[in-house]
Amino acid sequence: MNFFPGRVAKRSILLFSCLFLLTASVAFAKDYDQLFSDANDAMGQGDLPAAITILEKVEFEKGDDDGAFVRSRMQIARLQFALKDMAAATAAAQEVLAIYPDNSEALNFMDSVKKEQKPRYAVFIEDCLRFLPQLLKGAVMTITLVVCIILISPVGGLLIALGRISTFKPISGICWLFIWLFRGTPLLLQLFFIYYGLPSLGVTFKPFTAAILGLGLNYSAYLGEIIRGGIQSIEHGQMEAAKAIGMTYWQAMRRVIIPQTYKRLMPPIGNEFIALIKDTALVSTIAMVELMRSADQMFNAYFNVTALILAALIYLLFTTIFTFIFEKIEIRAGIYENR
Amino acid sequence: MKKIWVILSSLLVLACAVSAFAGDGSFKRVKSQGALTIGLDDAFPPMGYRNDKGQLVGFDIDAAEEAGKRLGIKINWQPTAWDGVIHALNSKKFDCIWNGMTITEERKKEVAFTKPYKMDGQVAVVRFGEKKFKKLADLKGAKVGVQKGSSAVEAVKKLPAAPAEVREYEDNPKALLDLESKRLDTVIIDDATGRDFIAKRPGKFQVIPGNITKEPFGVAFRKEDVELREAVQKTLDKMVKDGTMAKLSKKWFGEDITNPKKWK
Repeated sequence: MNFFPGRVAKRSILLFSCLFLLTASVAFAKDYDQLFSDANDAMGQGDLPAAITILEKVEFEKGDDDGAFVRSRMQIARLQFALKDMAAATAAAQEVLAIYPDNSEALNFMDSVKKEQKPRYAVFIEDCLRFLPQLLKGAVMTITLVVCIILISPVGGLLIALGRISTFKPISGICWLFIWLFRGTPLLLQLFFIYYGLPSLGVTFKPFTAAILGLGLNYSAYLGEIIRGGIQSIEHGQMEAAKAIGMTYWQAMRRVIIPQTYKRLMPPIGNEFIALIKDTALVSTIAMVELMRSADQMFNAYFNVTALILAALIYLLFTTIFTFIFEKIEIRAGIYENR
Repeated sequence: MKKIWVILSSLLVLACAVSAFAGDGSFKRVKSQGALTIGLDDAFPPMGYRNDKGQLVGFDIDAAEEAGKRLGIKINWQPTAWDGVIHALNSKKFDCIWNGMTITEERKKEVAFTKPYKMDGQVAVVRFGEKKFKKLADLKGAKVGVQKGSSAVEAVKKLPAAPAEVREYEDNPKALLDLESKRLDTVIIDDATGRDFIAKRPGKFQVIPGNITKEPFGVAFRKEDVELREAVQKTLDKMVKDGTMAKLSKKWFGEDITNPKKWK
């Protein structure tokens, strides 16, 4: 019994305060802070229509309204949107555009409403077309990086591999240290050190140079170990035989040993290069604009996950193409062994 | 004979005047380069970001382009990571930072700012229809998200009640998505930036009424480039006076937040 009168009392207080507000808003047309706070209270109680009614009391004042009008109408637009009344939501945003035709908040909102009314697949296709040009530009940079590293790292890797198996201790020691360092620390940390750390030692690289350097050193270290494994998998007897017929060490390497490693090197090197395609995403942290960074830019500017999905699809496309290319190369490289 | 003296003395006066104006030569340097290079984080709507055609758009972009036009120099935009932006300015990667940069005492030690050209508050964004956090004081014990390195990190300390946990994010959208998936209770963000995101994802967020702090924004120059800063300052002053800044402000923020008379 106690409960019921309480509710009535609450209601009458609400009604009274509404009436008070109505008169107050006429008296102090410019004190909108209270209106916004009341509207917020109404929203807190889940009464969205009441909040809309309160906000509609904010009027446009020519010249000096401190943005209260735009704020109120955009809030109404959002509330109507939540109530699924798209026509009313659009109308509220239109009120803003009638006064400020190029207001970016209202224009963004109108876009969102239009999107909401379209089927999901249509929105997805539209977003894809919207982000694709930017993402492809980033993808070109990703491919540039990948191609550069594919050209650099086998050379670096071969040098390191030969250094590692060298009988001259200082050289094999240095190569061991190189691999130990670059294989033993995170690539991300290496990139950070080259780009952000070296300038304090007086060496400043452009982002692209730093990216090539970091990826190049890291992948040379990995390929070095793979190539060394390949070379050492050829029986030692072959080297001895080559020397016995009068070849020098280097002639034997170039003509006999290394050509035999091609086929067995292809699968692990292909593996590394596919990892490389994905690792290029790390250079987005050192101010490089490649695929990952472009996707992140679009995601940030448009608040839209489609940009990330699209980037994933482009990465997948690249790795798929590389897988096919490497399968073909593997068959060609092993042409004399596949009999 | 008299004529020669007149000519000579007037030349002397002219020379004095020229040398007085020569100063650090920073404006001349930019003029002869033909372009003012501005560093910015190009993923910071609505100050400066890329639209779907890859063009830079935003309030700061519009304002700087207009200022460049008036000064007769082209603007060259240099995207950069926001982390370490001051270091990049001082190592001459660009001539200034014009990118919604809050003027703080800390930053003033390293760079020289123009007079504030915009005043904006920090607000708390919560989920749409939030029932628990209705006032800033309700945020006691809440999980708060902010952008790393932004002035929101400082604003959190000025909340009326201490939150339980502050998490820092690389970008604002990531913080807001975490709010949407209920791993955060609120995100502290620039009012203008927050509203831009809210409009892009309607029905998901709302703002708690009231500003946590009000912050002045300025263009940052190297301390030694006094002439360049003064040239830009003069142009900015004119743009405030003739209503250009007000017009741009209404376009991007829906209200004029560039008029010094309105900053209490």
